[in-house]
Amino acid sequence: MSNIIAIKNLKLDLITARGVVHAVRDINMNVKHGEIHGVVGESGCGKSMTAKAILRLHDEKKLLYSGSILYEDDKDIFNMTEKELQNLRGKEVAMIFQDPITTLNPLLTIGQQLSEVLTLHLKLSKKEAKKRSIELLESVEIHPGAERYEQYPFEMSGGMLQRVIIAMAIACNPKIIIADEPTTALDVTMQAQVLDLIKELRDKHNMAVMIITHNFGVVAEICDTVSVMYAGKIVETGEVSEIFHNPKHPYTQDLIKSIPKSGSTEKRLVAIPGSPPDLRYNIEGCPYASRCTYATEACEKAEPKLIKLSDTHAYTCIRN
Amino acid sequence: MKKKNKLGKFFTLPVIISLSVLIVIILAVLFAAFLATHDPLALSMSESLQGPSSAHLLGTDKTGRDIFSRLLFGGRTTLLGALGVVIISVIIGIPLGLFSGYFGGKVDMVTMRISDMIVAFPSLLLAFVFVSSFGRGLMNAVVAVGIIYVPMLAKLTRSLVLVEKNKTYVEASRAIGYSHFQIIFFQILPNCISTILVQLTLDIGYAILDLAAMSFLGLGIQPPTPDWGAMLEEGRIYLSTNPLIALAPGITIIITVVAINIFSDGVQSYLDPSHRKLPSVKKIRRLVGVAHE
Amino acid sequence: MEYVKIHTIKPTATLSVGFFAFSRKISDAMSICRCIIKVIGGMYMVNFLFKRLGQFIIVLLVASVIIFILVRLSQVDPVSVILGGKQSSTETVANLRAKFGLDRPVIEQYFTWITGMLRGDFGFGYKYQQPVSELIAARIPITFGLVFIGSLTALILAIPMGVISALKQNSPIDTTLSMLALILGAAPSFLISIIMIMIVAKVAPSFPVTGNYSSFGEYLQRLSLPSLALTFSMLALASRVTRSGMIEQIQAPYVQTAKAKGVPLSRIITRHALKNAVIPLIAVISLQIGNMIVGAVLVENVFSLAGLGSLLVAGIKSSDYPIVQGITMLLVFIFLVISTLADIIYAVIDPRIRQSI
Repeated sequence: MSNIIAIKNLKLDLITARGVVHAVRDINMNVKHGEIHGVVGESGCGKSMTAKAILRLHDEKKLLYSGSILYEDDKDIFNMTEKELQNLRGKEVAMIFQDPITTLNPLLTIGQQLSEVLTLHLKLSKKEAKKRSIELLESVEIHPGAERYEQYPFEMSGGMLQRVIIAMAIACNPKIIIADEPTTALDVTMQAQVLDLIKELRDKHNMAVMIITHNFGVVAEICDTVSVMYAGKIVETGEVSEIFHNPKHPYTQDLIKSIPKSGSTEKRLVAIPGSPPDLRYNIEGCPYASRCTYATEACEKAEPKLIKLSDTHAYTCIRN
Repeated sequence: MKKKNKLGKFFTLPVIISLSVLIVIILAVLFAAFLATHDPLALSMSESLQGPSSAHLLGTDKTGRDIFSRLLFGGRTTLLGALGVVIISVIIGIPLGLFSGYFGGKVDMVTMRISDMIVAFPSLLLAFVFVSSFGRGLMNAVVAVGIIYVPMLAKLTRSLVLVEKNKTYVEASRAIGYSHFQIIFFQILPNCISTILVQLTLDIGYAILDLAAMSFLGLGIQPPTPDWGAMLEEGRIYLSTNPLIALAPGITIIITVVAINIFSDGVQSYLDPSHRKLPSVKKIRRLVGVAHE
Repeated sequence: MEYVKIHTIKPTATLSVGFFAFSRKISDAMSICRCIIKVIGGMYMVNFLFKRLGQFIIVLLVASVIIFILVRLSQVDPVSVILGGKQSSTETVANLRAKFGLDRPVIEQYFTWITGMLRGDFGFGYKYQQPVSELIAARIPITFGLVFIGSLTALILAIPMGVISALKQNSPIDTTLSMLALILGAAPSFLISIIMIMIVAKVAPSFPVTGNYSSFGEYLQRLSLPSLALTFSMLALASRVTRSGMIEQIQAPYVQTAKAKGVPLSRIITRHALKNAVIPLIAVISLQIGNMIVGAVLVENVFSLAGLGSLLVAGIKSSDYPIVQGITMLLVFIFLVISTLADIIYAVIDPRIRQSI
């Protein structure tokens, strides 16, 4: 199976008022067709920036790209023209974001926003688009579709809105959906619903999904493979079963340890002490050194090597 | 004197320029008695309607009065009048807003409803009616316009008080035993002062315009006292022949008000970080280009 | 003793004064409107409209009270104005008092005034000795035209100015437009008018700047310059508000969603961002209409237009209170109508507002 998205040597530098932030420092990531790939890490590790960079949603006056992102293993997204990009966005690669209320236009009905994708990419007439939109709404369990079509975002709940957004994303049968923290703004029951929906869609349409999240539980729930990011670098990547049963990188181990377990009698939550490094400065050695339980002096000087455990499982560390 | 922080400094170029212009104008007007070349009220029919010359820097008007001197003394009237307007609005408006916001309740609701109505209104019309009832003249015009500015200031103060009211230091003060009066004037007010001052600066500008409008219509200053608005009115008939009579006060008004606006913009940017201009992206790109390869 | 001439009401006067006959037809119009509105905006809209109209009426009444009180506080005795300063016998004075209703209790005077206005009767001018409604009837098209054309033009110009400034933030175009807006805002409208007249006199001396009009074409010609002066004074704030509104919207999350959907930039601006950005603009314009009405008064003076403003000023100077009262009330009415309309447009654009208020 080939890759639908292949990120090679991606570096992203963000120009801010406080200086240049090296948000993403040379990462490689692959998502295969029909695969659900999770990207985990704490806030500020660069996962959202990577996701947005795939569709080039950043303000290119403030963000500097380096490296390449290949679509279907041959087209470099960074070389695409605006027209090719617009054709890609929403049609072949769809993206959904974190907070459904702010990510929808409050002044347009959700029907109008849904139909927009259909008329734009599939060239449907207004009537056909409306019909198809209502079908889509019902396919994400929003009933009655016709009534909801005429409603405004402020009239619906967060979970319902997120399903609307998913409907918008799958409207043109994209080959991959990029989901940036799709469940973070929702409560637990809605989370489960949305995740089930995503899984169902993948099974039905063989759609690939890239899920960005800081919640390892979500990863365990539906992902096939996962990349763990820290301070702009990928520290471990592999199949979910491998990572959970045999986490090799100390950060991954700490993350898994910090997931609260039901039925546990522990009184305190396990947290990782310290905080991530300031990304404005180049980091010598391993970025996790200051917080790692196994850290030695060598860790702060030498660049950790990539160690491949199997075809799918790899991590960076100077230990073995 | 220069306050520098990572995001910018107070004395940015616009602030420096506008402040200097304002200082020049204020000083010129203050020292009008020394700078003026003639008595602003002195009639001299023989010299009427002359253009600029060495004797009369900006020429003379239809009764031979020196325009330059009238401009300087007129500035006194206009600026003092604007100051008067602001002072009246402060004396009435700020306490009103403070009490309204702090104590709330029915009084607050009624005051705010009325204020809302007056603010959006063509309230200068009310000033016109006021002046029509109580007589024209500088005093009445200043009082009328001052009263009209009260609702806006009261609303602003009130909204600031509402924000401060719920902060912990107010609760702490009450716990220590401060009286309401003390809390309002010695605790809450100082924290609101900066925003209010910015608005007051702007208000001086608006007051200049409004007073000039009233004088222009003949409802404010009565001749022969010089005043920028009245000079505009006197000068407009002579626009094609002696444009300076009207243009001198006109351009001075524009420069003063623009300077005030730019200055208050600058102060606002300094006080509110989100308004600050970030260092130019180009500059950073250049820096990065060197470091990035 | 002078006899008071009674003129027949001319057709144009009836049309203009018909504004106030509106009150009688309200109940009929209301039921029709209700049906239409339900179709357009749903239940929320109907409630909103009723509340808004209620507000309109309340503010109108409060304003009338304030104006009435202010005028009554005057220190000039109306009778002396009516008599034109001539000495008269106490009998004449008493007669005049009765004729003008000045011997009635104040509250009764107020109600007579209000009910009179609803019928289109604005009272009688002291100095002009004519029904006020006649005096103002012919002048309404001028003042109303100035305000209407002025604010409409401001709206039409502010939007592109703001959008361009926002898209090319901090570029030379943006700085120039902002500077221009700043200077225009600082210049009083009467000053701009004076300068305009000066320029036009030099460039196109034949252009009719003052004088009367006889046709609609000439009407537009005469109003073009003065309404432009009014537009400039509002444009300053309007373009700034549009600009900051646009900048804020461009950074909003839903714009990112639209971009991710593949919507082209032009469509994002016009269909998504603009709609949201225009909201504060409408709010600002409805607040600024008040200033524009005052500006109209000033501009009429400069351009020698026979509008309500010039009559108002004349009335003030001659202490002719029915005129002052009547015109001020009318101007306030025009203002409230426009501001209520603006609020309704706001509610049509932004469905969220229909729920609040």
